[in-house]
Amino acid sequence: MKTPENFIQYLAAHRDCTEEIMDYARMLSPEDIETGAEPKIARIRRMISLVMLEIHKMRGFVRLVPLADNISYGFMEPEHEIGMWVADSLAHRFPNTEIIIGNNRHTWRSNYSENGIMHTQGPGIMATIDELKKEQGIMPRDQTTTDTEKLWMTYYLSQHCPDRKNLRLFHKNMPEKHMKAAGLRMEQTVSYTPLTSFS
Amino acid sequence: MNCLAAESGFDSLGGGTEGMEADLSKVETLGGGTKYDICASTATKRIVSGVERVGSVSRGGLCHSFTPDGRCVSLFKTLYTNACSHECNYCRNASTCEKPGKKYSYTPQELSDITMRLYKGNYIEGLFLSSGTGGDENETMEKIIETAQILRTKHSFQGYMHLKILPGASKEHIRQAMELADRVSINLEAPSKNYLSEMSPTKDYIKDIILRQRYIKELSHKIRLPAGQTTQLVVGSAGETDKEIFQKILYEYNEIGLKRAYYSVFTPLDGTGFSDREKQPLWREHRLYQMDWLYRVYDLPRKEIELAFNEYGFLPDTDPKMAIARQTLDTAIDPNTADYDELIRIPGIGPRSAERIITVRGQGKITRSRDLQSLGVRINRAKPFLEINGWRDTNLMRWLT
Repeated sequence: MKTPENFIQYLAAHRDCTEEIMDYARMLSPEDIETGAEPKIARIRRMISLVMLEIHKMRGFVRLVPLADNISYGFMEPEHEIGMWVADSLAHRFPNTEIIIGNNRHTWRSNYSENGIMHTQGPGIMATIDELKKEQGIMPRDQTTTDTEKLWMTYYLSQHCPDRKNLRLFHKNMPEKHMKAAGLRMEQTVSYTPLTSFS
Repeated sequence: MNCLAAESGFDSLGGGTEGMEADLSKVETLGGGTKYDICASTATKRIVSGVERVGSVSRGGLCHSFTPDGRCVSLFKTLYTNACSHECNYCRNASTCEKPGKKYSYTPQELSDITMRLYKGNYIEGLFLSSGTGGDENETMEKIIETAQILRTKHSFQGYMHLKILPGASKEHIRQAMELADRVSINLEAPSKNYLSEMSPTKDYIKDIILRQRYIKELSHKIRLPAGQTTQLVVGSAGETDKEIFQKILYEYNEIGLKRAYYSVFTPLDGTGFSDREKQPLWREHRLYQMDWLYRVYDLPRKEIELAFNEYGFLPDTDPKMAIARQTLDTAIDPNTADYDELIRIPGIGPRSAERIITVRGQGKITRSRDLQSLGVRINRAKPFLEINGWRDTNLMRWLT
């Protein structure tokens, strides 16, 4: 990944970022980060890259469940402070739909409409959803969710070629920490299932 | 549709799925029919804006999952129907297959509904729609186009779309598909007419495939195709060499304006005409991708890349870049003085790391291999070809195969 102009924001989102690192990074340009061979710069480059990678992975891995016509929610427990990036990205994908993603501790809400992006953060996702259900009288849509999961799992398994088995590559592309962070139940099950089950 | 179904003897006609459970056997069979279609790219130059829409695209593409064999799952890849009038000897859907499975077909409404359900759940980046010919390729093309139209208009879908052009499809259908899709492709399957006639006796290489590719090229002057035209080949079912495949693909890049080529090694399938033929090793596909990469990304000249082939025109199971370097790099290269073209030829140094080396040289001399490592160089591969600060690592790596 190439170092972006706003690399400082990505660096600040890294869980191990300190004021000292930030002060040093503010003196650097994207080109310095890109080409610097010093260990300190190499570390900053790696930190930025890890944050960007997690955002990229979560944008694809987080699953959305419809709560109401214009509200969808999903689970995410990222390693770095990336919640708002992912929520905004999904909100941009689904305009006029309130996107709520989060975990037991945090919720990131984002809505993209003709007025632009509106986003907020809050406590755990269950509390946020319960509050919304009460406020708007929303009934759960469990059946639709189950059906879509079944549909996805059927399609997902249909794509597997046993003769191409390569679990090492699977785990490299889909590390357990990212699956866990995105709450990918089905793929997790698949990754621990012996390959004979797919033949 | 009923006519098409009757002609093809479908077991399932499908139906609307909005708010209903989809026919999972159909999803499984028609999804599985595309598992040897390798292309999973969703990178596109299309810009999505406004708020009256569902979906968007990613400039660099996005994977939503990975199969247990490590391939990216980014699209809902499916056949429209697995009924086919062609007699391809490598394909389970061929009309001549002795162990044909159940025949299924979607309806455009049903397929667009399933796509939207998966898309709204953020399971996929978009749709990859291929098909058997059904009873007639133009009638099936119409269904493919209708599905795409429903998605783009009724659902205001702005996600990614890759539509297959069926061999022999009319120019008008190609035009309509191009207006809706990010990417279109027609599978070349083989590097020449002779090989294709053995693999798929009912397809005319020039008329059904090359001519359609030329239509796409011609139409792309008027219709913007943001992710371009691609193709795919079955590798090794008819004895074709890697060199023949590579040369054909270079022709396609230069004459057809192809964006990418995809390679799928031949796997014999039960009941097909080629069921008793030898299964090709997966590494053959991998080595062809590396050759492709040397041409498209490294921009190495054809003659130099072709040094990687053996005397019979096949690639050995070694990294072609390493094989070429062993034949062409006679003296050790100093990363402090080498230009980009020299650096790029060293195994372990890619375009990004070559650029980084050139930039960092302006700030000071490279004196340690560790400096190169921190710039992204895979130092164990590169070391035998380098001279750093007057020091050379002349171990046997360079000459070992």
